[in-house]
Amino acid sequence: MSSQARGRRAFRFILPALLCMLFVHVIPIFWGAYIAFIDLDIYTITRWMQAPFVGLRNFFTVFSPATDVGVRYLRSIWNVVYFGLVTIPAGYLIGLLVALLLNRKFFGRTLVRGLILLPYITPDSVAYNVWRFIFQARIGIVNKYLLALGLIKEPIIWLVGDRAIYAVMIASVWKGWPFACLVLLAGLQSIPQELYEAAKIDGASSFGLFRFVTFPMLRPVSATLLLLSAIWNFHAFNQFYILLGADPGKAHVPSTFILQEAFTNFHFGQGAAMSVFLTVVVLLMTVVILRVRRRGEEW
Amino acid sequence: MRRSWVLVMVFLWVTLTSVTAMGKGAITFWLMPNAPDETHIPWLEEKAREFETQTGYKVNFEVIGWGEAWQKISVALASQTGPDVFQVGTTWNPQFAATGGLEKLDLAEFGSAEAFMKANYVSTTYKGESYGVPWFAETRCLFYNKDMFAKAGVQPPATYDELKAVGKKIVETFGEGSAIAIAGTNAWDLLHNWAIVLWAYGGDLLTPDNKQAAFNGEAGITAMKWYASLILDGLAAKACAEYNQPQADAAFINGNVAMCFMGPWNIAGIEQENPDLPYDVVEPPAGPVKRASFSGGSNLVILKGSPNKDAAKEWIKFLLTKENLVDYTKNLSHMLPAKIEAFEDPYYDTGVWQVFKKTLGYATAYPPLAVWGDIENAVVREFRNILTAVASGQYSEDTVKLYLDQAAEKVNEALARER
Amino acid sequence: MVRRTLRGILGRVLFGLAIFLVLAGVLIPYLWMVSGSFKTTLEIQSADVLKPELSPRWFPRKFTWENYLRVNRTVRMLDYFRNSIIISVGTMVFSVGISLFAAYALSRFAFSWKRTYTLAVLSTQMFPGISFLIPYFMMFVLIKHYLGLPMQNTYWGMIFTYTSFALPFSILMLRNFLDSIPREIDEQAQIDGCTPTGALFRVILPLAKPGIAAVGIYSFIMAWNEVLFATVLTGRETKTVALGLLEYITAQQARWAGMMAACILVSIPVLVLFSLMQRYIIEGLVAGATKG
Repeated sequence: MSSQARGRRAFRFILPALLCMLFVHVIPIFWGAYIAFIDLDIYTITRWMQAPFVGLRNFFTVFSPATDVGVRYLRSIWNVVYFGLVTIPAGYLIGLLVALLLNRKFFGRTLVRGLILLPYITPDSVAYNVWRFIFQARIGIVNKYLLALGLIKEPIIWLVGDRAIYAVMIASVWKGWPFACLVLLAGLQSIPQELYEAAKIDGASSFGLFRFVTFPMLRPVSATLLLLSAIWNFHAFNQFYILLGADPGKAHVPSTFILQEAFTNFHFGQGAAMSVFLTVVVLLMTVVILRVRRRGEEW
Repeated sequence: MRRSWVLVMVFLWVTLTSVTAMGKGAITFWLMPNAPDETHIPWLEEKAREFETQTGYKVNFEVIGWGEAWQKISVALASQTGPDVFQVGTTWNPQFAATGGLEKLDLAEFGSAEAFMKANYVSTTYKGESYGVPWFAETRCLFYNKDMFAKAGVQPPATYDELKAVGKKIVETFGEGSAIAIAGTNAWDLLHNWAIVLWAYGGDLLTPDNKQAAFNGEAGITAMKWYASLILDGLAAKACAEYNQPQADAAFINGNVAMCFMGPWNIAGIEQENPDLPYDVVEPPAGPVKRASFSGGSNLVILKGSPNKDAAKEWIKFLLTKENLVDYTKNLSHMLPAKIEAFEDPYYDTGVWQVFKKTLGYATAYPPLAVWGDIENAVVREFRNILTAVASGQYSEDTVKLYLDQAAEKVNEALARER
Repeated sequence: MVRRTLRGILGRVLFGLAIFLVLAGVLIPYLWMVSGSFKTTLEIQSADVLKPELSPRWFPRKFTWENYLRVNRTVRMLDYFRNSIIISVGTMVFSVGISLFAAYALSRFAFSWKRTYTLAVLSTQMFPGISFLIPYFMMFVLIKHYLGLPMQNTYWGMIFTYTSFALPFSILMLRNFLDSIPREIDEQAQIDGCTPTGALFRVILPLAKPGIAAVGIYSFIMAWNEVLFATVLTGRETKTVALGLLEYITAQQARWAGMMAACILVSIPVLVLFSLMQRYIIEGLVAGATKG
């Protein structure tokens, strides 16, 4: 079979998937890039085919610290970065510790492993609504126990204002660490037992074992896991939208902010400009991750 | 193989498009939960049946929460699909009209422009044309707890200065924070609470030509300081700084606080939550310049892309008949009718309704601008900063001016986009 | 010797304690959810952390089934369940069908643009939904306008959207699964006179059942859980459970008890499906995060 014929045959098999990708990802992303250059707002939304081309103006507006949108967009970017800087390492550390615990054999291990997966498989809408209930100022249990322990004098309002982002972080770490744990556990179990035995013969302490065997062996898995988490961090939406509502105020992240600017305030052009930036960032990070993975040479 | 693909495609096409051809002779009506579902839904079902026997048009109604209504409507406007006729808040109407997605209406068909409360009529307009029909009106008045007033030996205040004096007496008797409950950073309608004070002090949100922000002038600063001082002087609880409106309402309805600015819809809440509450309602206090109140409410609008505009208009007329309007406002929504003839009903000359009716007479609507949403958001955001400063003890003499100036800058930025 | 056993016991106690702490951290929110779902709305509303006698409790003061029995009363939860089931099952079917063909081609055929395509599939998984939500929504409007085909607020619109979301992961996972099936099997079938399509259906399909089930369930769960696109693209007729849950809390009323009961009901299908195919989905997910 000629290589052309082979290509055609593969094409027929892949065509439906290709069409889906084309309509849902490719066309919208390029179209979105186009919208970012037109003045699509409240006046033009019903006649948006005629919206005027405005060059880079939308980009200047959303990145300018002098405009209201700009200030809030820059803050939302900072928020999502800050959010990632806290939740990713925290989730990774908890995941690693628990994975080390579960890597031993003990009675009921399967049950425990199943149970810790619960947060991961619980639908976001359920998990974050429950956390929203938990964080309620007057009827929630967080404040109940903080008061009982004497750590606070008055109930804290968690889900509004400056503290809101921390509440979201706590809920997200709770939801996210089991996945890290799962991946690391798989990584741990793929470490050949002989390595440990060899190290023990050399007289390594249990910390030494971790430092010189476990940790280096987990490095490739950890690198991919952390990079993927860093990319997915920019997807953060559900936890903010569900815990804080459609307008998280100071705790906006790009996803919630763009949604609000576009569909509530009719700033579609600016919203698209903000999206384009996000796409570019994610694209760059994907290139990095592919470079890192190249070493594994999967394809 | 290729032929089978084509067949599949054609089949899909036919099945998918055939479904859409249905639904002629029916209109879709979106409205907000203006009354508890238990009474609201049966009423709507009954009226829809009545309308169908009268005109032959079927009405499919859908009750949409206020929280998601804006976004759903904007999606409907952009796609020109969804409802044929729907309810919008008065402050929303000009903005939606600016999108070009609403049908222009001649109010003569629904009576005349003069047949409606002035401020509600204004709220339907955009650049001098009408894009909606006023449905019901509301305004906020001062609710007070008669028992607490009697125990403190005070009378309902007639001016904003008096309100503070009265409040201090109440605080002496009932303790700090017991005088008044006010909305704070969490209230989406924060601006409505302050605007009436601003107007009463002779200020205004924008210059008369609607080109510049005007609320950061002398009157605005005094009015904002007055609002902040309610918390600073202990008349309102510190927690108020973070309240939303229902939280403030609840503090009054539970009987913990002596005063609160609330609307007619709260009366149902009182009857449900605490029917024994000894309350009464007076007009909002007067400022040094005048007495002012905020005009809110809802209008009915028609989607420009609706294929059933005539039926939609008939439905609006049907809802606005004196009988239906009075029934709906009196027995269901506890709002006030926006059509003047409905006030002939003797009900509106009794008790608190008399006060609301009178207050509504001089109520003011916000300027009908396309960028109003941005303006309100900008002011409310800085307003929140002021309240946060108050709550966290960082408030100083300059705080109000600082933030109001910032808000003005952003409002001017938004106004520059108005065409 | 004694010291060693002492250390052993101490170690075990500490170990047990650590496991207990982990489990407590995981399970407390679930206990709170279950407890809330059996409380009366009144009990939750009147709770107050400042007043010891009203402080929220773990055991309902008055135990009630009301929240479950009347789950459809204030929020049309049953309608949302129907919508979610239709959309999720549709997504499952289409995603399995489409990804099976694509994965088979990737696994079995050699063609020049294989690597490029794999990379493209991989990167579509990385884009945040918000980066194409706006134009995607416009596309729906356009399709309706020019082709008369409503997409927004329709089942097929949502199924198409979610199928496309599920595809990248499904394709890559199924490809890995098919790679593990020896090539000789379908080569033999082709020698026996099967076309590639025939080989796929007659020989590979039965062998790939676990992989297919895992992909199907992944797609189902994805569609069941999605929030962002649902907020813009669904309407009354297509609203899913994920959004429906939010309706319990409005500016006027907070029906936490009803919401907790609904939360439990919404979780059940996901938990059941997941535990059915736990092993395969986990393997796939772990591979997705470590290999690709």
